[in-house]
Amino acid sequence: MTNVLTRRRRPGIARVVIALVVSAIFAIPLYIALVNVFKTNDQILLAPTALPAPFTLDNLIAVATGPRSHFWRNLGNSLIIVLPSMAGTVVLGSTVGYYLGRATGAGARLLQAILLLGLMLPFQVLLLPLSIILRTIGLQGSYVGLILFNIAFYVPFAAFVYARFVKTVPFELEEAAALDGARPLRTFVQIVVPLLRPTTASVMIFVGVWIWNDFLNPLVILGPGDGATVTTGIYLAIGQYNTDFGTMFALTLLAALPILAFFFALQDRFVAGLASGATKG
Amino acid sequence: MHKQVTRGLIAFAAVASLTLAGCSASAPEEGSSADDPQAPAEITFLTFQSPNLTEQFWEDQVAEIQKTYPNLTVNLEYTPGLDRQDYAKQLLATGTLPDVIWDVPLQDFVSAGALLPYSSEDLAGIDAPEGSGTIDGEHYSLTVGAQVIPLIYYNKDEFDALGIEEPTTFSELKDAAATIAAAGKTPFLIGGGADSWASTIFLDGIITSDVIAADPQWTAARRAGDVSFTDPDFEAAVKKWLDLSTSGYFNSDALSVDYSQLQSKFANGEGVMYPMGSWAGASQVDFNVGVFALPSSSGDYTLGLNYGQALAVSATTKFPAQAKAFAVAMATGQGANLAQLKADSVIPVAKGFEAPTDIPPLISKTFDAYQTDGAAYVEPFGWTQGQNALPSGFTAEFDKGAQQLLSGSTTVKDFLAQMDKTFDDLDQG
Amino acid sequence: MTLSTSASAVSRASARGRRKPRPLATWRFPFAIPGFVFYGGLVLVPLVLSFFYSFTDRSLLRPDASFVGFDNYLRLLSDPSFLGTFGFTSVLTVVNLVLVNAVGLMVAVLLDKVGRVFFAVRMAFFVPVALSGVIVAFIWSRILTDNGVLNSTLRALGLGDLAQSWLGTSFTAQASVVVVTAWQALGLCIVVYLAGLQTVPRELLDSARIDGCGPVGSFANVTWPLLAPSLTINATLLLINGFKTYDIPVVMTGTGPGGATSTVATEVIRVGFSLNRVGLASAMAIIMLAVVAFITVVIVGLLQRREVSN
Repeated sequence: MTNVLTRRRRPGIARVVIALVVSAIFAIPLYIALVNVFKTNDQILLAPTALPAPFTLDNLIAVATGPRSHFWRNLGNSLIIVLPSMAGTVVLGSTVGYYLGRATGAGARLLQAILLLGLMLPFQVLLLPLSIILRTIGLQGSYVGLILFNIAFYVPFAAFVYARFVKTVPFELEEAAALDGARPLRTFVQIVVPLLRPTTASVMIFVGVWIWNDFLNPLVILGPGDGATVTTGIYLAIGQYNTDFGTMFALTLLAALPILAFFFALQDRFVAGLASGATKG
Repeated sequence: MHKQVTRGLIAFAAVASLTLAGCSASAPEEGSSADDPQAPAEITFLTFQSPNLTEQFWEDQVAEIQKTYPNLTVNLEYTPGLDRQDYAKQLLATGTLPDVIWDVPLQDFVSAGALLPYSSEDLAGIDAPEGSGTIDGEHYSLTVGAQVIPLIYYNKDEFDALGIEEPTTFSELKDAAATIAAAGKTPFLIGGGADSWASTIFLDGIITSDVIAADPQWTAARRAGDVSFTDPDFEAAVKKWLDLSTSGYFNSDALSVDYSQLQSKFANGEGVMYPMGSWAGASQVDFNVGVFALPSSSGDYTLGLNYGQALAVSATTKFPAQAKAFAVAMATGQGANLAQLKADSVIPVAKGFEAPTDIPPLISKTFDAYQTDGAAYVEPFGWTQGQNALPSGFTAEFDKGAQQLLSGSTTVKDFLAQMDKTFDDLDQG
Repeated sequence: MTLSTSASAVSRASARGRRKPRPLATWRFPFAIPGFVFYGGLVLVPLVLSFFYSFTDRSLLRPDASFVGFDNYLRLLSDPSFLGTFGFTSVLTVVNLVLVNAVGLMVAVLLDKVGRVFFAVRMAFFVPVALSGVIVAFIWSRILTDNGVLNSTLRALGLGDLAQSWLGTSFTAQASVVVVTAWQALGLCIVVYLAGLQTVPRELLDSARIDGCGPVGSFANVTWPLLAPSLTINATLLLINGFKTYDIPVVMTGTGPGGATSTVATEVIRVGFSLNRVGLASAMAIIMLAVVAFITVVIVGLLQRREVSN
């Protein structure tokens, strides 16, 4: 895999042109989402596809600093939810994945099947029974309740991604460590975990994006109070300010920027992690 | 065995809800201060935002009430989207119901034991008809005012340009629509999208003036099996509405624009007539707007009045006295009422409310339309709370079916037969 | 390390004479416990509760319910409205599965080159992956409304006859929801194929060329078989996510007009929380889960067999 980048020959001009045309068509909605951030409402209604001339930052300023702006509060809420959820999913998903990647018995296959169910589940069906359980343990309406559920819900996905990778880690490495007297936990932490980094990037991207973009769970588990996240904030704004397009576009841009930055910061390793997972199934 | 498990689950759920009830009830309230509405309290008020009722509006309402109850802290919470009833139900089901709630699905909440009834003193300041907000003789919902479902708002400049007079019969209304359509304009603006009620508010008005007018207890009669949706009068009302659509009198995007988009379409002059609840009297537009009541086929006026703009108090609130005092103050306070009138064109029902002289003109015209000579008042089809309400969830099904009618994927007969089935099905609970 | 060590079945590894990892397997079980406790308590238990609800007439607001056997299931299977919803969800999923896979593969092959242009272009395709369905639905609704970008562009191009109420009629609204979900899903599919393409050894492509294969031939004989694991991943993700579609119809069309764009996931919420019928809503979800599980097992089984045979 060292020659991954060198193997590809320089593209012909035809390919460049086709690639540009295809991506331009694909990116039209993104272009619209971006240019209209910098236009007034009248400009948007008149010519939604035109470039922003004259150019205005009023929408962004209003959304970021306006007296009715909940953006920063919502951003804080989103981070309070996403970061611990992601960390928990990575820790628990990698340990379950480690087990699944090494275990072979019928029991392991059964556990794998049970976890697979969780992947296919539309979580909408869990909402009511889940809230009964959360209420019983006093966590309904709390960040902790939502975070615990996020972890529980995404552990299967993380476990599968890790398991696929763990299978590619030469078993001999661990045996050697065991012979040296390392305990299982130490073997895992010192031998396996360092190898899991690219996979962790994949897991973090997937899980981070999913939780960041989730709106039904925060709405129902956290309720309508101060617990609005960036995404539930947008959902609320769409219902109420649907016709104030400048504000809406500015809000969507601000809401998307943190997760896009995160995504692109990790995307190299993400692709590498996927590549290893994709080939070694 | 299944039964046992079910019973186990029920027991589990019961314990869960008891636990919840327990922790709410055990909140320490020292002696008599709990009954004193002036005692310090912190309550949560769940309401909604619309183009008329903004965050600023609600904060002002709270500030107005705090003039009377300075020790009351109110946390405002908002439902996502205009559909506050379903969201309130989600919160009830998940055990996070706020203390005071705006516009709940009353039947569901009362049968779940989720609301506190108001006392006769609480109701003393309100002049609303018996029955609205009442279930089994107890009053659970305190209205801030009435809304007419719907009035017909219209672009007066367009009417004048086309030489159209305000219609006084339904056939004149149709003629007006024909004239407008012939001029290449859209006669009626109808909505949809996430707000499916905006697809049917005009239809609800026609049904109200043609069916409910003749039998104000229609829903009870339907429940008893004495009338049905497939009856000729109901079918005729639906056909009247559908004819307008098939004549091309509705905007082509009727089913895809939600309420706020619909509102801005009217404000942008994209349609001439706008059948909408009387809250449209607060519309801000830069052309002349008139409004008239929807005439029936015979030229009578029967207006449907919705009292659903109302406050309910949760049975699990720690501060029942203060929560009720808050609701009463919002429903009857002169300052609060005045703000509601100006922001949302609400027709006040508080006794002794004095309308100021500086009412914006369109709101004043809305009141005139509401007081059209010889008008009778009933509970509007599809918008009724309390004992005459349609079964829970029925309105949404009705809206869905009516949208299918508009999009041509069903027929009037099939639609109405389906509504009969749906009614019976949902009425069983 | 060769590519053929792919595929999950550990038994194959042992069959090939690799040392069996079994002796160490047992003591790893404790690693799985914390994860399973979470999953069990907050996902499995609610799922089991839902499963039991589906055999009762449980209502949202009252905990008393009685056992009704398979009534909910029988009712759903004979309810044209639910079958319509189920049909639309299935069509959406299948179209996504086929269309997104095909387009995703083509774009990935097109973009599998170095250089700044290709890097930038790849980024454009990745952006929607990170956007929430709520945002995607909002952006597209500006394009698809009657006075939106699509219609005004059509009119400007003299194709005004094609302009129509995209979200206002059943079929076009359904098509719109399918296209928008596909648009959002495409990026991830491309990422996975690009990742797969990176692992195609140049020597194999070179030798294919020496053997006289054209670009098409070497793609069919070398690249495509080696992309089998990527196809499995994409098929699984598209299948599962297609059936779960919720945000886009809720925000873009309000599941309308007339419920035409409602999916099983939106119906579960509507029937459970709006009609109060938790029993019925649970049965819907269980039916969907059963169907998705069945199809996934079949398709993944077939695709993995293909991986193995390579």
